[in-house]
Amino acid sequence: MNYGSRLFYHRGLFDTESTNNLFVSAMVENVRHHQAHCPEYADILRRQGFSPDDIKSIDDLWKIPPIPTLFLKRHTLYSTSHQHLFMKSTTSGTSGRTSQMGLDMTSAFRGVGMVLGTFFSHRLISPRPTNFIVLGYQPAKRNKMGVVKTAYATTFTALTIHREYALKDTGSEYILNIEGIKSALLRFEKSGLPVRFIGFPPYFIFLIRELMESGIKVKLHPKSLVMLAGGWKQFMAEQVDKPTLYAMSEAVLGIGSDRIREFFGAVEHPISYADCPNHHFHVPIYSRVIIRDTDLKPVGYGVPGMLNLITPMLTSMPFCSVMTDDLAVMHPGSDCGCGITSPYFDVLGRVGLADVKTCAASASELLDVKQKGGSK
Amino acid sequence: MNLADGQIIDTKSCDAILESLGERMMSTLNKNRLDPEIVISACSRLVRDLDESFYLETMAGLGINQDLGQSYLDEARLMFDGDSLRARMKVELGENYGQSITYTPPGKTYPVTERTVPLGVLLHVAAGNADGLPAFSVLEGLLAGNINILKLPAVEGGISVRLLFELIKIEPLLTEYIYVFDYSSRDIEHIARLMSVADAVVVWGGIEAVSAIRKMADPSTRLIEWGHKVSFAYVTEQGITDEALTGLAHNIVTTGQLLCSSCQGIYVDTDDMEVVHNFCRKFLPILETVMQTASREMGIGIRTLVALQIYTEELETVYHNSKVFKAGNCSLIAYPDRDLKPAVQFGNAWVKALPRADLLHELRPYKNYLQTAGLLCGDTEREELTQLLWRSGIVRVCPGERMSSTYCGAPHDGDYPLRRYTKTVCVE
Repeated sequence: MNYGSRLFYHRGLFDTESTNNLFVSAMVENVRHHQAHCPEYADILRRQGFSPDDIKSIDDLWKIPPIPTLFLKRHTLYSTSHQHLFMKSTTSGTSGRTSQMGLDMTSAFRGVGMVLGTFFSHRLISPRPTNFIVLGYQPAKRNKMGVVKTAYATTFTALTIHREYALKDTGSEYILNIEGIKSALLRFEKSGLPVRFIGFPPYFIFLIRELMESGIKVKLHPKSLVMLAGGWKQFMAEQVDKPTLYAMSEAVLGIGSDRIREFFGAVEHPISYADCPNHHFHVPIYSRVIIRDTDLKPVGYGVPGMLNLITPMLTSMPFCSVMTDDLAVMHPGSDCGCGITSPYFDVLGRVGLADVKTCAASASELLDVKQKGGSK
Repeated sequence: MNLADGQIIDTKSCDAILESLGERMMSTLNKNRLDPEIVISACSRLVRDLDESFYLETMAGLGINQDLGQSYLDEARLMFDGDSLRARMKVELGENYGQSITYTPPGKTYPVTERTVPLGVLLHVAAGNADGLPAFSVLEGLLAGNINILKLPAVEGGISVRLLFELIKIEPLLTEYIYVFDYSSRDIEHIARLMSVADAVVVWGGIEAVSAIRKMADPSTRLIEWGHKVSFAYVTEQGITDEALTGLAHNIVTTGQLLCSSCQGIYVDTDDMEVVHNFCRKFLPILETVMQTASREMGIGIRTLVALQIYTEELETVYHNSKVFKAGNCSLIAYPDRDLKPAVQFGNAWVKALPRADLLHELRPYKNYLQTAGLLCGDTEREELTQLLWRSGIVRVCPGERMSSTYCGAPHDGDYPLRRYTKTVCVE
């Protein structure tokens, strides 16, 4: 088996120290693969003056030129022919542009290893019959968003009895199904089976508030679970601090902090990060995380900077080292106290135009003029 | 924050005021017209007695250091000084503003009397992109004699309400001419009610804000739109002097390229990319020197965003055939295309080739967005290039360093605001 696949079937989810050498070998192998199969990527490496031979140890990983997600939203890079891709996903595209991601056989094989490793280690796989409440879209052929697929896949982490969706597909459009969820919750409470919630944190906050307002209070099975992924940051108006949310959930659903789990991931970096009991994202063996300053140089623990995610998972697309548009900060694992020794990161928010006040016409306005051809 | 009857009021009281808004407007309109001298003297007292430390502190919170903040205050003082305002009224509304003019039209035997009067009630839908701008819009409405209802933008540092509150304290007669409501732009019901009492709606903001108001407004409602604009510099070989480039650099640095009058990029009068690259090599060190004296502090979010965008531009040079010229705190990106676009901003401008023979053809499609051109050229070329820029849709031509400064009575986006806030009535 090649280095990459060995890494993804390695036991010990957080043994980053002992897998450093394997990780480095897998990265060199992965970068070489993309360099050979993706001419644009090879060109980027050449222009940045980088060669895979520069990587001698784990401390050299930062030298791999990171590809910004901003770049991937404008250009799609493939290292395999398009026909070999399946499970294609796009980002939710709130900013108007989307990134494309697709898996080939090798990448998918590694993905399965990772999902099994992650979910078993975090004890998220359950053989019990379970009802699911998906606080998101019902899957539909026309919907290519990665989150929809991930949410659907997550409903297979237990023996599923029923799936209730907050956004129900009517065949041509989506409708908000709050009433359906409320009555399902009452049914699920009576049935006595565990319930699993999957969705964006703001949707979960919205649901809890809805339930509070309609005076609905249930006591769900103690093995029930809330799985939240992504997006605390874009919804500032809905911002509720985490302890408050946990307390509200305990009061309304009977599900407290220890049964609420958060996940972090990105279409351009399909590694699942699940939080620990203290709600921190520790780095698993499948990836390494570097925080960079504005000169793109790595910074140490406790210093905020750009979040750079590194993994050799994909052979389909050269997403070896991806720079997100998130600001984050790293902490040593020992600061957490949960017992996991690998370091963890906190996402502080998105670097964004939100705090830029401008009255200059925007790119989209001007591009529109260009595309309409104006009065030329 | 809401303001009515000269008081800061809560949302509940707002609803009660909204109930009677139509009658309130009529009662004020029924009185003698607001004398512009009252507004002028209140404004000049307001700027004279300004609590400098409060505004400097508020601006410091927005990343504007004391020197720049002080220069803004000095500019505001000059703009709202009594003499300036009187001069502005004359320029915009004519020598005899506020007075009736009677004459006998050609071919008629009877005299007619005309007079410039306020529109009546203005609803200002302000944008959150410049602090204090919402109050500024109201002051213009007052100068023209209107009753002003201000809908605050979602993000407002509180400067506007404070200014208007102080203005009313100085001149209580203005109380019934100023209302401020803090309704969200999504609160269609309340905004529709505010619109129903207005003679015209003054909209500030980008295409989204303007479209939203257009959609909401009754077709008979007059809309006065101050949309987002874009500005650039045009440079010829003769215009490349250290002095002119330093001036242009000052505009780029002090405004952060955030204003509609800020220089986003530079068109060089050539079709040779080598000339463009040489221009970048010459201008970059000048820009960097001015950048090092920058009086605008950037937070980590913005510094990171800029770094990420410039790095992405570097990776993209292979696609765009572009070239990034980078210094410690700024950059210039030379592109082979001629499209007009906003810059990465904060000291990062684009540079493109655009020979004067193609200028009209290339810029004309952007006619409704064009605002200021900083013109760096030789004296003998100035007239020809100015005409050319005006024809393309540019409404203001000036040296680079003055792109974002204004003068008393200057037209805004090709119009005199006070003229748009008034109408001419006649009697026979």
